[in-house]
Amino acid sequence: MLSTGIPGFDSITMGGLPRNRSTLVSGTAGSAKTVFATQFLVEGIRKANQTGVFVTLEESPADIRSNMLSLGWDIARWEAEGKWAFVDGTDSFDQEEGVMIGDFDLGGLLARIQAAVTKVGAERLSMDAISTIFPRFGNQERIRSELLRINNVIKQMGVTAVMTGERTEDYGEIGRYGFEEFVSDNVIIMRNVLDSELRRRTLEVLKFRGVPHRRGEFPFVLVNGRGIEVVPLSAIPLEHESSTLRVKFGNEGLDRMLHGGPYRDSIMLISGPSGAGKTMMATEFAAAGGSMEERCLFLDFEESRTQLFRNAATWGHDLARRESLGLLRIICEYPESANIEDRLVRLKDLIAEFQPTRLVIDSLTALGRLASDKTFRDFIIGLTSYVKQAQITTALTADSGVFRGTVAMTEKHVSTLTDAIIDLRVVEVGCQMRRGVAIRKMRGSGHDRHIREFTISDTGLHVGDAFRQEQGHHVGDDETVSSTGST
Amino acid sequence: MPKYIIHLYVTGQTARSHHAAANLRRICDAYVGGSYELVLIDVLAQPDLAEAARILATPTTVRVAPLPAYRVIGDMSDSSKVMMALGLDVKDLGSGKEIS
Repeated sequence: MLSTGIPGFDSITMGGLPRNRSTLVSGTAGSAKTVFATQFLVEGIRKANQTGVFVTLEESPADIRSNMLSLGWDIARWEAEGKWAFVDGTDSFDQEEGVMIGDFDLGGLLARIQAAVTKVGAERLSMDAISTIFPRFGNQERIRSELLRINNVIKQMGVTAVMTGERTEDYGEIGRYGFEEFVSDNVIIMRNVLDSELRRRTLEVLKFRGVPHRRGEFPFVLVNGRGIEVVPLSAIPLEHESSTLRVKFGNEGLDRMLHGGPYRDSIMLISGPSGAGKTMMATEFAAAGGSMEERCLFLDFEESRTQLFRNAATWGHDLARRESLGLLRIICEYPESANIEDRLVRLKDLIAEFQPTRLVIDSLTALGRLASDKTFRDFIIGLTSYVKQAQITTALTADSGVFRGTVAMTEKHVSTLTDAIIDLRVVEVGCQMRRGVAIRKMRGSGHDRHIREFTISDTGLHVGDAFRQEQGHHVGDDETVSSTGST
Repeated sequence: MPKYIIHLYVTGQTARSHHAAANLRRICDAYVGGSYELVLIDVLAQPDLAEAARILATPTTVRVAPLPAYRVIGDMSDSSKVMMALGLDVKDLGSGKEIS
């Protein structure tokens, strides 16, 4: 296998592309197949010191050069350095390809490809797009056998090739002419589909003859200035060493309940019904008890900056000050503003840039509303895996409870992936609403087993005494705790 | 000074290359007498020329002069079609001399 260097791609294909073979990359218009073909050569030059030949049959070399500049790729420079060669097979004539009289072959194209490969010593080749050849030359059988011939010559020259082809439907025939897939042993499908009103780009390895590969569609993003990044969410191996170092949540009472504080690489779920105090708790964590060593990245999908700052102020936290000290970075966005794969990529960028020691997402429920179950679960696996490796203490808020008999979706997905669950409750005692907090689970550590009352004042959050069994029932759930203590 | 300049791009010394060249010579002899120059270009030997002319298929015949530059792909097996495709039947506007 030849490692492509395209981020994320090599891990879903278990190594890259089959070496010395050609792979067909088929996709509808706008599915980014030309970008893929280009990036294959770009990463070869940048990461593997392998030169490349780009055979262009659709877009002119000039168009490709200028289009790819926006992705940060200076092709003209590589051409000057002898690392990149174009074979310009575009139809530049005002007329048809040329009248066809009698038998012909694609010897001209082949000779030019051979010359270009030899000239730059290429190990990689991209051809975009072979589907354009068929209508130009009319004779399908001849063209097909010629492409097979070209394929063979490329193999013999020790080149690994990507050939793009166009299709008309995202879920239908492989290629427009019905037989491109037989020209290649290896086929990848790229799609750009509408999913819940957002565009979702995916890549699927349909077949790699003789080589094992992951099945199904994998989402990818097209990042401005960088190119394609495949987001192999759940393909990330679950290997990380557990931390035994404890950090402070930032609140004395909570840290006591957690028997000292959460572990450095903990992922905590702050769960509770609406109004129970999740955002308050998340803000408490973000403020980190005033620590100068903790830097927090706060992703807010529920409120605006102003609201957050104002509420935090009533709880005794000066978030603006922490922000100005570089200890806090707040991003407030509508969940609808990007699809979930873009979010994960963006989050990783933010983390690389800001280098936080802790992360808050308020709330996961808001994000989860937009995605399908599988996509959402993939996102959470990708996120949790990433922050664990980076040893970033994370707090995620989510709506909880049983609502009309079905467990809230987020709970279902997340609770098994988190290390600690902090349950917030609104408890009715007598005729008063009081707040309760309990640690439902905490991996690797003992923890307080009581549901304790907590209060919020202008000096912040205070954890108090445990509720007694006969006191009251939970508000916000369909389930209730009877005063005889049946739950 | 030859009247027509025609470039024939072929791949190597194959039967198809020879047929194409022979056919073309015969057609040119018949329609323009000796008034042409036929340049044979082997794309394997001179890929840079093939690149400059953007040749994909072989054989390809390009009428270089006089303009317009017509192109024909194939071994030229049908004479009358080739003649029309290369515009050899068009009245020469310059000298007023009719080509039959």
